[in-house]
Amino acid sequence: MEGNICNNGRDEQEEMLSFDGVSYEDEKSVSLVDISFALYRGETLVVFGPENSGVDIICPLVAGLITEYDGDIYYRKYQIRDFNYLDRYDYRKGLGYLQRNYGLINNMSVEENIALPLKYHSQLSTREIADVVGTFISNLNLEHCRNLRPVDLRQSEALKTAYARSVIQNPDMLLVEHAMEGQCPINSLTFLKNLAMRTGDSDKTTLFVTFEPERFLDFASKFLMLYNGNVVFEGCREDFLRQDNPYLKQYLAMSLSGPMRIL
Amino acid sequence: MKLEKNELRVAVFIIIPTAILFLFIILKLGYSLASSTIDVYLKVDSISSIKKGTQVKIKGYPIGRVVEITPVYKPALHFLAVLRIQKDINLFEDCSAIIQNQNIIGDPVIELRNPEKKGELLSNGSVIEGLEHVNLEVILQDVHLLLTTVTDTIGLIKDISLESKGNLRNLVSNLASSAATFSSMLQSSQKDILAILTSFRETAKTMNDISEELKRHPIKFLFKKDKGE
Amino acid sequence: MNAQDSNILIALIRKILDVWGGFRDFFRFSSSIFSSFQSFKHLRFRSIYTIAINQTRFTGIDALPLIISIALLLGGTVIIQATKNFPKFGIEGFIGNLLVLIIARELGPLATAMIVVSRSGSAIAAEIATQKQNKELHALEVMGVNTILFIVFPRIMGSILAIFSLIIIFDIVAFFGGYIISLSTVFIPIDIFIESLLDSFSFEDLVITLMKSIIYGILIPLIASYYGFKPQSDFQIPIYVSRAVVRTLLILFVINAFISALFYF
Repeated sequence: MEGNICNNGRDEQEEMLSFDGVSYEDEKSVSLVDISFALYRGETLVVFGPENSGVDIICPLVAGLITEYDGDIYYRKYQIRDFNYLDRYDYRKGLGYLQRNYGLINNMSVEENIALPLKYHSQLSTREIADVVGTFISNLNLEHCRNLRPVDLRQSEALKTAYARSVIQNPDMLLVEHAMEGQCPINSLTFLKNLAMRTGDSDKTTLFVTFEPERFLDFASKFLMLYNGNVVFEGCREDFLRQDNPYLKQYLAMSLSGPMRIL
Repeated sequence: MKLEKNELRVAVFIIIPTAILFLFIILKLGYSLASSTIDVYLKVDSISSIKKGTQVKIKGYPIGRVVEITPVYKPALHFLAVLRIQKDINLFEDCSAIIQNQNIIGDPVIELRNPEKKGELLSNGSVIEGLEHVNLEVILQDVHLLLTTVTDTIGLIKDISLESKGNLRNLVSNLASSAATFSSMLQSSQKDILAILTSFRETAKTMNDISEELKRHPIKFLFKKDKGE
Repeated sequence: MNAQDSNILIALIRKILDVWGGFRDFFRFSSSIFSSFQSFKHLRFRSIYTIAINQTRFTGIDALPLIISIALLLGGTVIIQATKNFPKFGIEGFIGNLLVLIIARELGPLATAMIVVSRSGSAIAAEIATQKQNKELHALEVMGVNTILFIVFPRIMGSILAIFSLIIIFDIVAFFGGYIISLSTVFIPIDIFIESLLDSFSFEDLVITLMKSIIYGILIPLIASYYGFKPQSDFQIPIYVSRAVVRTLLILFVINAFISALFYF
């Protein structure tokens, strides 16, 4: 399938990410079959689908954590697989990745976790780093848990800490993987507010992978649904809302009857 | 604050052992912290017993150590060991140096001995000659010699004792015959002794009679003349 | 050759191949540390500074009570045996030699390394394994953080510093523990005792001690990290932690024997 969904006049914009006939299979039988799509600068794509549909492979493929696959994945026209050691290092440095379970470093406080990418990569002084981290902590209402370790945090606080860490270097592209699962709808509002501000920026590209696409309806520009490793729906916000795709319809209705076999 | 405390503790934890290590190196190199040492040279034929760091003592009291050993090729190969020793110990020129082992597993030490006739004081850069070299091998050789001598002496005593055994036997038999002679003499003189004793008894009786007579008639006894007078 | 013999032979060959494969895998892991130095120029030392400090504190300072106790006991034991079995006459001459021979050359570095393996080696393996299962390593990788440089390198630095200091502290405490015990049997003036130690401890011993602290400082966190990265699931963590400790100890004994044979044989 060609990734030309919902162009909205963005053809002349820079292509940030593209999947070109990507197929992948592993021993857990999670697979992708000939997937193609493109993501342009400023777009927000929500990739969703049921468990074992292949959605969980998308972010690791984009981040270059999986290198054994067929087809091509391009980041700004560069083949990710061809990156050498230092190219991959630079690429990941400029990529925000809010992963499932957040991956906070347990022996570091909230403040240290957020500051880590800057401490590791940036030329900023310790004081400047502290200022930047302080701003994020303040914006995300994390003042009260600044010095707490991840083990002492609530779900929403862990989510906000992980989000702050993933965007503290102001990356051009952000990958958000199953961020909202298990979150309190009220306490996660601060996170969503900050996320909306970011996705509203025409320069920032975001890719969401989720089981709950409707939670990103306010700031998503494109949707892509996978089932059994295949793309079964792709469209813009309006297409998503119309629900004229049987897979989408069954998914959103959470119905047992439909083209998808429920496990 | 917590980090600063950690940093401080870690710094102390690393600095103290490092300082001890440096102190050890300084002491090992033979530098006295008060810098009150002089360097003198010791001429040795062989360096089999001494090495850098070998202790220098006088009358068993440590006064310094060897800090360097340099070979001298002419006229014949010998070595100069630099002894860094305490300045406040009075050592005189013509003093002697003896290399000796403390014990089986101990390192050798250089024992300095002042000469009987005290001359000039030993100064920085002086050379000590006339080295008496006593090492473990020499001690072992001496011990071996001593043991050999002791073995010889024991053999000699054994020989002497074997030779004198016959003489002793003769002596004992002579003694036995002398005893027999003495016994027979005693036996043969037994009658004579009895006669002598009887004679003694008779004499005693006569003497008794005389004394009785004297007691009763002293004048008569004293002036008694033959009737013919 | 019957079927049972051939089965034993096959099992033996398989075991040898397993061990060989393990060594190859370990060397691959070790060489990845060298390859990770490619991104060393991008590494800001401040990001690993805290980890190195914490590692030094945990491996070194927190182990001090244990090290001091064991050093005192070992030093005392050596002297008790010496005064019991050697003649008391002239003991002041070789007590330094004895302590240097037994404590400084062999027991000090080895006992220190064993304590570090049992405390820090197991902790490093368990920590990395847990980090892996919590996807912390995954998070670091996607952040562009080199996990080898960020996790293994500061631990190696911390361990080298800690083991170096611990060996020196161990030796000193053991020497004076031995000295104090020896006072109960034979009086040796402290200056004579120190002189005797200084005489016996050569620069070669010093170099070997430093070399051991560096080798152990590198090997212990390296092997522990190698096994820390291994578990594929939570239940494998204790298995690999145990392996890390046992195999590190085995390798330490081999290396210690090798160094002693190389320098003193």
